Amino acid sequence: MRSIKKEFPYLLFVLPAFILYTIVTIIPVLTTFVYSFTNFNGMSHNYNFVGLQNYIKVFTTNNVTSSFINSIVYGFVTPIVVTVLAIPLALLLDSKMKTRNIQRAIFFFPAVISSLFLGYIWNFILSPSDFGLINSIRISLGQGKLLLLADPHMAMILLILANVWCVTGWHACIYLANIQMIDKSYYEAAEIDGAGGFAKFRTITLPFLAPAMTVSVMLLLTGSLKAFDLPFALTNGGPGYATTMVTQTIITEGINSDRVGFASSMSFLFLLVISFFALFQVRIMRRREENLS
Amino acid sequence: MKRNISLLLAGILATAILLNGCAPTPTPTSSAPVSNPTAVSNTAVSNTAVPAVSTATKVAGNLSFLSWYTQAMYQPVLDAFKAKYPDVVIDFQNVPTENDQYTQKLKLLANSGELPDLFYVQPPVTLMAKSNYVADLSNLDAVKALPAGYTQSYTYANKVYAFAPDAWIGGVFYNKTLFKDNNLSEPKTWSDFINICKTIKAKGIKPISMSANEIADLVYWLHNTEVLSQDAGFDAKINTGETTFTQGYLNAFNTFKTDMVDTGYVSKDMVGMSDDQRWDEFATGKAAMTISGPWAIPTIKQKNPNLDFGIFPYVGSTDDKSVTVGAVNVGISISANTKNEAAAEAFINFLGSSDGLLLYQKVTGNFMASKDINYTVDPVMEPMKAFAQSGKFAFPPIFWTYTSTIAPMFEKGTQQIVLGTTTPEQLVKDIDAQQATLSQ
Amino acid sequence: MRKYKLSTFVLEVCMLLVCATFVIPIYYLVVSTFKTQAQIIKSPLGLPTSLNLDNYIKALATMHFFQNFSNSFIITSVSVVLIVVCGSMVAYAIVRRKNKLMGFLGIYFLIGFLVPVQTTLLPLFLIMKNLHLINTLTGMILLHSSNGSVFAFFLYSGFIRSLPPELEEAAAMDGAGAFRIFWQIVFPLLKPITATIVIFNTMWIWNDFLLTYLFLSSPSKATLIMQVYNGVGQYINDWSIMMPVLVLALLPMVIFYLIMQQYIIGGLTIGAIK
Repeated sequence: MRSIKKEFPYLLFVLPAFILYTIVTIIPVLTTFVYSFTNFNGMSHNYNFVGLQNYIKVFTTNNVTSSFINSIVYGFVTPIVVTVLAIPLALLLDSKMKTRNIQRAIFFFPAVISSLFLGYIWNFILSPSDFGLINSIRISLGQGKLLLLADPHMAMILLILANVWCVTGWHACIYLANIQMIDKSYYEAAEIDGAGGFAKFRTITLPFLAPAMTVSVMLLLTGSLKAFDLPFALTNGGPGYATTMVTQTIITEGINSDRVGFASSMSFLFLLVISFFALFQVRIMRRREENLS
Repeated sequence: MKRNISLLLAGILATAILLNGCAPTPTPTSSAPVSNPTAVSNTAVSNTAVPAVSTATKVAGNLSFLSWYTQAMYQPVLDAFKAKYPDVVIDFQNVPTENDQYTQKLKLLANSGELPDLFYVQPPVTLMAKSNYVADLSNLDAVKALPAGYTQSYTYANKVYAFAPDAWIGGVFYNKTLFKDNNLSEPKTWSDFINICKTIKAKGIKPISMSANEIADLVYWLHNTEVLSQDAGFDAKINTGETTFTQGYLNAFNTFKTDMVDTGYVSKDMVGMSDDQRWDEFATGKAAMTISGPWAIPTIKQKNPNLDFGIFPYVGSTDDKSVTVGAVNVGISISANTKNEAAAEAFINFLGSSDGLLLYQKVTGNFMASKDINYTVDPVMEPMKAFAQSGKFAFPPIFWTYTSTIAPMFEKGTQQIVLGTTTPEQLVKDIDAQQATLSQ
Repeated sequence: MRKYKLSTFVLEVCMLLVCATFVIPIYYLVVSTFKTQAQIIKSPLGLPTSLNLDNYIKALATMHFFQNFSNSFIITSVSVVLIVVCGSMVAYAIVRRKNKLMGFLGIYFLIGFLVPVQTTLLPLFLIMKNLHLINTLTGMILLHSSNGSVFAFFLYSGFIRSLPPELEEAAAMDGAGAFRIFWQIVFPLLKPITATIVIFNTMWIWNDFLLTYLFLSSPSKATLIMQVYNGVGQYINDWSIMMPVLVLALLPMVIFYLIMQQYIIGGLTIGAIK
C-alpha cells in the first residue's frame, strides 16, 4: 500500500477545506433534498412525506415557473452583454492613454460596494417618479417623464443594465491581466505579415483569451443565476412578477410562507438548472479553448 | 479508489445524520407536541427551583429580547425596567424589519429552538401557537387589562399569546394648502373622495401618491368601509372556510379598477415607485394625498418643513361607514421554552403598567388601548384618536391565517390590475385557489 | 513604443466622459450625505452648498464605530487567511495528484458554485445551532471561509495547472516532503492569484449582509455593514442616516482597494511573465 503513505500528506492538504465545505454546503444541500419530499413548514415538528407533490407544484404554480424563466433570462443575457463590453474595455484600458490607471480604478469600483446598496442607488436613478434622477433631468429639459422601472419589460432590461454596470469593470480587469500576458512578439510577427488591427485581434488576442473567457463566463453565469441582492433591492421583483427571480421566490413562497418543503423542491430544481447550464457552458468553452490553442 | 470514494460518501451521510440529529424528524401528526403551551409555569420542567409564577419569585437573571425596535428607541424603557428590577440583565437584539428580514430570522430561530426569551410577533399568531413556540399569556395582569380588540389577533384556541397595548392607526394624509386653493374639504363619502381626485387631476396635479407595494391599500379601504363596517368578523370567516375572498373582495377590486385605475387616478408609474419616492411627491406638493400613519410625520417634515397637511379616515359609500386603516401593533411573546419566565413576565407586566405604557408609547408613537394614560400624539393625528378608542379601524391582512402568502398576492395582483395584465375576477379566483391549497 | 497619437487623445477624452457618467451613482451617494432631505429633493446631483457634517454626526451616534469596525476586521482578516491557506492547498492536491479520489473531489468542490445561499439557509442554521456557533464570530469566520475556499480553489487550480511541474519534481527528487514542496516552492509562485483572492474575498466578506444578520444577533458582535439599517424605523427609511453610515462603512474598503488595486493587475502579470 505504498500509495496510501505517499498520498497521506495530500489528503491532509484537502482535509480542512473538505470538512468545512461538507458541513457548510454539502450537508445542507442534502437536507434540503430530503425536505423537498415533505410538507415541512419550517416551524412544526410534525410533518409527513408527500412524495413528488412539491415538485409538481413547482411546475403548476404560475409565478414560480415565471420566476424560473426570469432567472434564466437574466442569467443568460448578462454574461453575453458583459463579455461583449468587457473585452473591448480591456483593450481600451491596455492602450496608451495617460489616465488609464485611474480609469481602470473607476470601472472596477462598483465591485467594492455591496450589490444590495447599489440596487437601492439605481432604484433612485431609474425611479418612475418625478424625482428619480433620469426623470428629473428629463423634466428639467422640458421632456416628459419615463415609466422606467414601472414598465414590466423595461424593468428587466434596466435590471440587466444595472448588473452590467456593476460587474463589467472587474471582468474587464480579468481580461486585461490576460491581455498583458500575451507575448508581444506574436503581434509583431502578424504585423510583418500585413495583418490589420481587427485581424490581429481575431487571430491572436481572442484565442489567447479563451481560457479567461471560460472562467469569466462561468462566474457570470452562475453569479447571475444565483443573484438575489440586486434584483431584490432594485425592483423587489416588480412590477407585478416581472423581475422576480427564483432566489426571491424561494424565500417568499417558501420560508416566509411557512412552506419549507415547497421551497426545498424549488431550491433543488434550481440547483439542477444551474448545474446543467454551468456544466454545459464549461464543456463547450473548454472545447473551444482546445480548438483555438 | 472506488472503495475510498464510497467510504467517503458514507462518512458524509453519517455526519449529515449526526449533525441534523437535533432537527425535527417526521412524525405522525397525532404525536405529542414538544412542550406544553397551556401555561407558562409548566415549562418549569426544564428549570431548577422556580415555582409557579408569583410576585414572591425573585426577578433576576438573563433575559434575551429580540426587538422590532432599535436599541436607541427602546433605551428609556430598558432603563426604567432596570431601575425597577436591577438584577435582570437584558441581552437586547435587533433585526431590521425592512423586507421581511425580521420575520425570516424569527422563523429560523423558532425552527432551530433558538428563540430568545422575549420576541416580537406579527399577527396572526396561529402558526407559532400551533407549533408550541409561544407561551400562554392570558393570566398576565397586563394582558387582562387589554380590551378585546387588542387581543383578538393574538388569540388562538381561546388563549392569548402576545401582548400589544397599542395600535397603529392611519388614514389619508392630504395637502391642506392644495385643498384650500381648490375649495375642497375633507370627504365624507367615497364619491366625495372621487370628486376630489377629479378636481385635483384637472389641475395637472396627481390626486394621490402610492408606492408599488401599497396600491393594495385602496382595495383594503373599500373592503373596510363596505364589508367590515357591517361585519367586523368577516375575514376571520375566510380562515374557517365559511366564506371566500371572492365574496368579500370582488366588489372592492372592481370599484378600485373602475374608480381609480380606469380614470387614471392610479397611474402606471406607481407600480415602480418606492416608498421614499411617494413621500417626495407628497411633501413637495406634486401629489395631493397619500395613505399612511403617524410614523410618517417626521419624514414628511424632514422633506418639507413648510408643508401644511392634515388627515382624514377611510370613507365609505355612505357617511356612517368610516373604518380607517389600522391594526394592533406587533406584540411581544414569551418563548414556550424560556428559562426565565419570572423576568419575562415581569417585563411584560412592567410595560403594561401606567409608567411602562407611557414610555412604550414614546417608542412606538402609536395610539394606546388604555384610556387611563395621558399621552400626546402629533397634532396632525388628533382626528384619529376617536377611531383608536372606538375600535373602528382594520387592516385585513392581519386577520388571514396564511397572510404571508396571500398578502403578497394582493400586492402583486393590484400591480397587475393597474398594468392590465390581470382582471379582478381572475385575481380573486387565484387567491381563493391558493387559500384552498394552503388550507389542506 | 506606441506613440501618444491624436487618436489616442480623442479616445482618452471620450473614455473620461464615459467614466464621468459611470461614476454618477457613487457621486450621488457621497454628495447626498452632506445635504438635508429637502435639499436632496431639490437638487439631487448638485454639489452640496456647505460641508454639512450633521448627517455624519447623527450617523456616528447610532454606531459603535470601533466595536463594529473591529468585528468586521476580525471576521474578514481571519477568513481571508483561512481561505488562502485552505483554498491553495486543496487546489494543489487536486491538480497535482491525478487519481480517482482527487478527480471526484475536484467535482465535489465545484458544487459549491452552483448553490444559491437561500436554498440552504434553514438546514445551515440548524447545523450551526447544533455546533453552538450561532451568534459567534467564529461561526461567521467558518461560514465565510468555506464559501471563499470554493472560489479560491477554482482560481488556484486554473493557475496551478499552467505551472510547469519540473521545479516540484526536482525538489521531490532531492527528498523534500509534500508540505515543503508546496510552501517553499509552489505557494510563492501563486502570488498573483493570492492577491486577487485576497482582494475579492476581503470586499465580499466585509460587505456581506445576508449571512451576517441571520447568524449574528447581539449588538456587540455586529459588523460595520449592519449599521446601515440603524436608519430604518418601523416603516420609514431615514436615508439621512443610512447614506452616511454606508459611506463610513465602505470607507475602509475604499482605502483598502486604492492601496491594493495596483496589485490586481501588476501582480497578475509579474508571476506570469517567465
